[in-house]
Amino acid sequence: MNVETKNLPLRNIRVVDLTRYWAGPYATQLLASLGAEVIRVEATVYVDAVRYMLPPDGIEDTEDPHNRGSYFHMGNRNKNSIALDLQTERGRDLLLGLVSIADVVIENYSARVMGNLRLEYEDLVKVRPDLVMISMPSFGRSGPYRDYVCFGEALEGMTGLSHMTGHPDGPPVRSSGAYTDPGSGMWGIYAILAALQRRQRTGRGARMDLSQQEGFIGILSDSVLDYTMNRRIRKRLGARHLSRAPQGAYRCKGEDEWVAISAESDRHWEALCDVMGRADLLHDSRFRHILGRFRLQDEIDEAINAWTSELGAREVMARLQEAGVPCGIVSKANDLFEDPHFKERAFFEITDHPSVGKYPHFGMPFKMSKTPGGSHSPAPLYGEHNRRVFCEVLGLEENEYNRLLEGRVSAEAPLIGD
Amino acid sequence: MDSWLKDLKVLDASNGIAGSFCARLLGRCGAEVLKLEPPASGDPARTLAPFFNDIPHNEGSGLFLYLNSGKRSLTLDPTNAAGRRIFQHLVDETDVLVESFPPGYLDSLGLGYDALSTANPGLIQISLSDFGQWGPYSAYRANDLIQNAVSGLMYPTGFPDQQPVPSGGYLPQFISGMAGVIAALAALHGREASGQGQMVDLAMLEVAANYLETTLVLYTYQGIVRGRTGSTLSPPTPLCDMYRTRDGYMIVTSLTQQQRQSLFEMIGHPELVDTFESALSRAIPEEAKQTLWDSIGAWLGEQDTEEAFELSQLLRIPCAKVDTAENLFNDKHLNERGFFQKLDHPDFGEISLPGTGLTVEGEPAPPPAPAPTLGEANREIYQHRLGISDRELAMLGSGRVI
Repeated sequence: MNVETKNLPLRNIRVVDLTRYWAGPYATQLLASLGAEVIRVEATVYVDAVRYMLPPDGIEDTEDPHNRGSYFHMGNRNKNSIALDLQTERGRDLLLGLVSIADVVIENYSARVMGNLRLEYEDLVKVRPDLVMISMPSFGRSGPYRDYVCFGEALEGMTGLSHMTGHPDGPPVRSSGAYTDPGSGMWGIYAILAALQRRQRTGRGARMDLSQQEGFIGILSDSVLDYTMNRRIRKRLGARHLSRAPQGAYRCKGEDEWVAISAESDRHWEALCDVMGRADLLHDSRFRHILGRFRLQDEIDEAINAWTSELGAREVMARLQEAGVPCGIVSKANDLFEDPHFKERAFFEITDHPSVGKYPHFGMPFKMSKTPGGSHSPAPLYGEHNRRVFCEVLGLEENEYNRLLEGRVSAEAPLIGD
Repeated sequence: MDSWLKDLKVLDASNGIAGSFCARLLGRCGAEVLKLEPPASGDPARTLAPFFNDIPHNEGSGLFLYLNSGKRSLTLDPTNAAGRRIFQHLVDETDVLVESFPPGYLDSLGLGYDALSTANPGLIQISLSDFGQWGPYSAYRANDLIQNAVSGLMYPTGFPDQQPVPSGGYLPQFISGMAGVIAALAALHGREASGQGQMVDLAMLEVAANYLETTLVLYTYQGIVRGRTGSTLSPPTPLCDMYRTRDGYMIVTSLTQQQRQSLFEMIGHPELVDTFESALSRAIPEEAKQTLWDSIGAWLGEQDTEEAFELSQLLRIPCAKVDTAENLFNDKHLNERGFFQKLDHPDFGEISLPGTGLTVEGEPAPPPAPAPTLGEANREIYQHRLGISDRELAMLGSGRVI
């Protein structure tokens, strides 16, 4: 955590963050890593469930379980946390006060929640006329599914991703993460930063809405286009490809060790045969053209597996890459932290969290030469910045803050519901 | 949205998916995007399926169209002196340069960021590559499969007794394009205060690793190397899994007590609610989990996907269908929202393109435009903007510089 924050590109931007789980938090974490001041407004009773999720060693029975969830730590670095009950009149007023001095409001409740709280754009823009606001409900704010509920774990089914993932002769399979969540987070940041450019040029804010479902369909556009252009429903390909062969995941020496190899061209095929020491395959006329290799891929895969299964995955990767063939180990979680490339580029960022100590997390998706950004503080404790925000930013007196606590408008630990 | 970046000039010298998508997203906000392509063959993305009428054609790739809608196309070979000069001139007029050449390539031509930004200190350069501009793998070759593999996304995807599989489509490339546009806009924001541009080193591998979710924290916080568990989580739970229906598949999840109660009532087993007090707790006996898997499976196996989805949503259970592209194209929700936009292509007829899911109040979605034919803007830009004469232009053409 040695990131220099004072020159970061978004340092003059204040974001009021009403998001929970993973999509919205991914967005605000990256904004915060680029210098924005992000203030997470957390519920007093039904707090973000991921605050409790996947604590160290699985131990949930502690004094402050709401501060120990790794799921929260990975997605809320560099942010401030305040607890505020938006269903109280006082809480609502304080939020409006915060919005009046903020640039951006982001929320990912299901579509009707902000209206129920009387905190719709129409309400917020009265106190901040050039506000940039984005809502990110699963299915957007209009249409028959407007009020439907969904988590990223399920939503990918309705983007085409699950249908396209898995083996040709098996069922569809979910991805290994809730990909629509960071995907939506990225769409959200794009919209926010573009809207800030507009504000810079015209003085006008923007009210935007992202359908997480639709955003992710756009990411899978090639299979959607194959249907809209040619009425073709693509089949699952396993680890193979529509037009490259051979391509796949191949077994290596060791327990469940794999290497991915992809021969995109004749040159790659020749190099692959050469490295495998299989001149016989290279001279087999059946494999000379891509179409033959495509048709006889099972036979080729057998030969590749025979070769790779005697070798370590990293060795196969090094030898094939040396020869110019696209190839890579199928990294397990532990491999990532031992990987020489990730290491040298210092991709993983270590944060020191007061409740759990030091842990590495995924780092920036890009490296900016002059303003690199990254983790400068760990995910906040629940309500950690109450005093700073209520007293220093909003100008409340100490006794007024205490009254908020007494009246259950704010809290320093999650409250039990009535 | 299509006027927000109206004065911005983007030079898209990238090939393939990631950089083109990045520049396209700037174009969608009104930036002028000049796409620089190799003479004769053009961007290799022109050869990517699907094609109009299934016929491979340099101007007929649907994916190329989607990625390059609304851009202008110039051809240029920057490897010779004349090409380099033109490249430099174009960059002098550019706010954002997007490029995906192999790391070090532009430097080797004397067109690295330091050289380019001497004349244009505000230049923002987004350099997209598989593994980044430096590091042990920077010269390595990759594609969507290799990115899925090395990033760690692939190993836990699939079933325990089968090979790991990548996610479908070109996910690492598309999300890298999105990360690229975020970097460009952040750099642009920073430039307002500093007057200085900067170079962005975007490694698609590192973008993909941003999507690892619990794979990382399960290992770092709990020492668990996540394996393949089919469609459920790690550790497996019937409360997040995919189930077969009479005519397809559904994904069932539930997190809160209320959601679980509704789910158990829907499948006719309200008595299970006591056993599953906490969705993710490891204390639940395997037998009870198996009973729930069987119960949800048995109930859903008798239902049509559409009806089960509507019912579960009526009960506020966070479930989803497993849709094919055909399902999506015919989906009532997507159609009512106008997600698919029709484009009447001058050469190939009508095509429906997916949108972005972004709506701006008071502004209609920008209409889709065709992708440029190869080099269609050569004359206009080279002659009128760079002042290259007819004669020079002809010479550059015959010398295969453009």
